[in-house]
Amino acid sequence: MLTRLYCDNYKCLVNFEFRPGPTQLLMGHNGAGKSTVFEVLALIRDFAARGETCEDRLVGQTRTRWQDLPDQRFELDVKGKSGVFTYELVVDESGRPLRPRVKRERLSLSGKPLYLFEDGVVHLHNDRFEDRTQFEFFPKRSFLAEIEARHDNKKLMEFKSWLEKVLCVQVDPKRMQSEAAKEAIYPLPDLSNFAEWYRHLRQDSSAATDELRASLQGVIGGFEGLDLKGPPSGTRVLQVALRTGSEGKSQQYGFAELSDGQRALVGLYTLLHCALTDNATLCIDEPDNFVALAEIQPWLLRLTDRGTDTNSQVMLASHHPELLNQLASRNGVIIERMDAGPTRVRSFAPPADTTLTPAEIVARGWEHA
Amino acid sequence: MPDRIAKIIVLAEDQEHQNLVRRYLLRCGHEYRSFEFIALPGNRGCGSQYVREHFPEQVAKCRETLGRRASCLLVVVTDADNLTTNVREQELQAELAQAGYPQVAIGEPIVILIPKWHVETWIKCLLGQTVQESDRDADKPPVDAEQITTAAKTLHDWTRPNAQVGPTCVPSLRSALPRWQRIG
Repeated sequence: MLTRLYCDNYKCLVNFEFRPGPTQLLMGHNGAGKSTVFEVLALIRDFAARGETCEDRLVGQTRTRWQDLPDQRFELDVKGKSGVFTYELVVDESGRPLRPRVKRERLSLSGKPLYLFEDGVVHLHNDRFEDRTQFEFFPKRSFLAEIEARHDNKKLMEFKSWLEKVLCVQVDPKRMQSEAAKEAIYPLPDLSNFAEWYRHLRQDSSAATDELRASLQGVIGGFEGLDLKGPPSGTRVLQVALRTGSEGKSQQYGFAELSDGQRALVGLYTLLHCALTDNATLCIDEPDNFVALAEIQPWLLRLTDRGTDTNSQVMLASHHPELLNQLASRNGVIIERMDAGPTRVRSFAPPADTTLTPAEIVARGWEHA
Repeated sequence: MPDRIAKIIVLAEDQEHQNLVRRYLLRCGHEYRSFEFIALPGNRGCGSQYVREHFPEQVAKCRETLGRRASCLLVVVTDADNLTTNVREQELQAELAQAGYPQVAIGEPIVILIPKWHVETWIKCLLGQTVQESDRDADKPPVDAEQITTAAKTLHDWTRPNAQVGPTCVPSLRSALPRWQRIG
């Protein structure tokens, strides 16, 4: 579970520290930096666990505009089974033209080293924290992403396994594709590769997709199931079986024929059942978009219960009254900026004597009192 | 009780109260879509006042559904705190009277659950811990969501027909068990 995120010199995040709990609601005005918090988590994941370069997503235009500092710094504290992992990444620029360069990347467990990249050299430590291997590596990528499981790096792999599974999404039903040319292990941030992800889930997590089907049968009227049609090795097309008409006859529909709201529900329940597995961290930006009011609370309660049951972490960013009213008093933080300056975070602290609901407090602007 | 309960509406003063009710209802076979939790108060310190203020409105809405094809069941959960459970219930009834509504009658689909001092007293006794409901600090240390899930399972066991209630059961919970059976 992520217990601390520190970020400096990235867009609106300047010397920014956030300590999320197991269930966390991020509230705040538009442009306050809620989505940027999720963006940082996703870029660290893509860099350190999925092998992306730092070329396009760090330094350059992503540095805070109103200051002139060369280094961007990111830190994560993650509570795992072995203890508290601390990950640190410092990026600056070098060369002509200027290009992003990893200055230092470090992973430790309870203060003891597991991995270090500095001055172009990787230091790999084993589970007893001994510095066993050193070699030169490129300053644009993380060697952490290349490391595979061995008998003596279980602790490092525990962190990497958590980071790989971090999901930051904003469901966009209009972009959720029906065609799956291949399997995708992870969904894209807008679930546009939903069919490819579902194709993978059917193979890899059939129990979870069975639960998903059962849930959707209670949520979407007439829903019977999702199926991928087409040759096993070629492009497959996602179809939905619905019982329609007075006789309740089962009919196949293309996934794209569902309404935006129905596709959003399919996406949200898929995240609930298939992404919230052991020790996962799931961040969803504005999950209430496209969804009917009556559908939000059942999904939200199920999501938070499943988070508890799977020891997972759920972070949601939302303006919706239903989410505010259920989560804000205990799990809400306000993300805010003063005069387009740096983002800061603080607990939701309503006026002491109020019996208003959190949504009423926010609607009146009293969360800033 | 009406023949068909379409929705169980839960008015509770804090998240622990909500969680215990929800986990119990799920244990009893209800689905997420069959209940609705009224918003929690913005300020956690005003929980019982919040419940008292919203009680008449929720009772009125519940009564509005009576006689319709599908009705609702209102579950109210609020701590007795320094009062007795009877006095806290009388306070709720007084709020109704002040709003011009008749008192809750036996047989109405309205169930009031009042732990003494706090819901943590119930949760901890359900976890097999010996607690005194006269102890105002029974909520320390706080309980987590996982413990509430375990407590709800025991509560379900204790409310089954011919169940043997555990030795740690506190008086306010023992007297409330028939009410829990009504919502299960």
